[in-house]
Amino acid sequence: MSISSHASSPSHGDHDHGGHHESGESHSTIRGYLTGFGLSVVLTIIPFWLVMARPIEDGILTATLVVLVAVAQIFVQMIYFLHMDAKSEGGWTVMALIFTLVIVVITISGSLWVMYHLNSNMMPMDGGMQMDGMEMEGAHMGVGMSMDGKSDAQTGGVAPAVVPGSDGNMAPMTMDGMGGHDMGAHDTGAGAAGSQGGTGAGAHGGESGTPTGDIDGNDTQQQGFAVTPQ
Amino acid sequence: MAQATLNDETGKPVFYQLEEHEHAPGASTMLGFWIYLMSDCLIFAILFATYGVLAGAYAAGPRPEEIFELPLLAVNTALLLFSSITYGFAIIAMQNRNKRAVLGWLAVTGLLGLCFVGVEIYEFATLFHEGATPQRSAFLSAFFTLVATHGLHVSFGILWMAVLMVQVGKLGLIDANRRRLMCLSMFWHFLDVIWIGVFTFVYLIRVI
Repeated sequence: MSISSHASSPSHGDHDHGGHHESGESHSTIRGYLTGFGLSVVLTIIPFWLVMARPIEDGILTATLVVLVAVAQIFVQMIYFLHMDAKSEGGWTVMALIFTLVIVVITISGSLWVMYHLNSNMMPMDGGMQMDGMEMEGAHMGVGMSMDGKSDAQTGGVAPAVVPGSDGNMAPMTMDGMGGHDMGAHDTGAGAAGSQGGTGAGAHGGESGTPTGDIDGNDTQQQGFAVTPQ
Repeated sequence: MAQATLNDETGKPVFYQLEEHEHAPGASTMLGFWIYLMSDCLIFAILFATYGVLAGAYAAGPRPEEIFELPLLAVNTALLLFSSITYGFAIIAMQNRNKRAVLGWLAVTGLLGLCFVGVEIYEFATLFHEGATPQRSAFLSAFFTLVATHGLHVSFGILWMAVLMVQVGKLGLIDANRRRLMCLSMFWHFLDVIWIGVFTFVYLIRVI
């Protein structure tokens, strides 16, 4: 019951710990503030010195040190200026802080991570892209491409007459406007290769040919053409 | 008082209170304000993330090492750090029930804050003069958004400080004012913590 009696005590009561029932108002000391200030000054001068005087040549090492010192200073100010401790408000401030830090880390690292990969995947590619294991990717991408542009897929549908001679090794693919055409040709070509020799790649070509056929009907014939010889 | 009574099988009266027990006025203010600060922290986290993503999008415009002036940044950092310790002295004075000292230290803190905002406005004006405007590149948009949001927080902190000085001057160090002083203390120190992130990740890292 001491709490309620404290709360109802007149506000100008000059008893010693008058403010103590107000949670959060921990008893700050001048020594605490000066300690925090001194540490903060040191932890501020160090990064500025590291960057402006450059005593360390290595850029990565300098950056790492600067970040570490910043983190240290954030902790110092949290403890000495914001009076964070595990006990204030029955531990709720620390809980809120930890929760916030988790969200902050997810937000920042997630954004950087996702956007970095988006950037590097959206870079314009010039010339053929040389990649191993092209068959799989080519076959799957072919589906998407031919669905996008029907006319390309249709020309692809005509192409097998020309392509079957090719041995299933794709010419270097270009990702520019004609990509859809190339892929379409490849699909059917691989399908033809399947009919000739029956490799894994051929099976893939057949599979990926199906959705194309669904879209523009022209390929349905072509697929029939690819399957009949079997 | 709204109260319902009924008897259970054993005949003992079972009752419950419909009204909550009383809380001391302002007892949960500090925790509530802390949660506000945490939400503010999320705003800054998003702005930091934006800056991090767009940090390299110069659009052939000025690069950080060309436009950032570290001496100016050092002055600003020092101003904010000194204002933190002077606010700490105001809190000490408040605990000692020294109204005049509280008002004095608040005035010093407010002046340091004004200097900080002034230096930042000068920095922005110089950048604008050099053609480094927010429209110039995504990097500069993100830079101005983040730093100006912090500057805006400091400006409103100064406004709050001025209002609080009037209240303390008129009403003295009553409980309500002490609570407000503690809230502003958290706000002010929190802005200094954010500034650590700003001068490290926005400025220093980028000119290494």
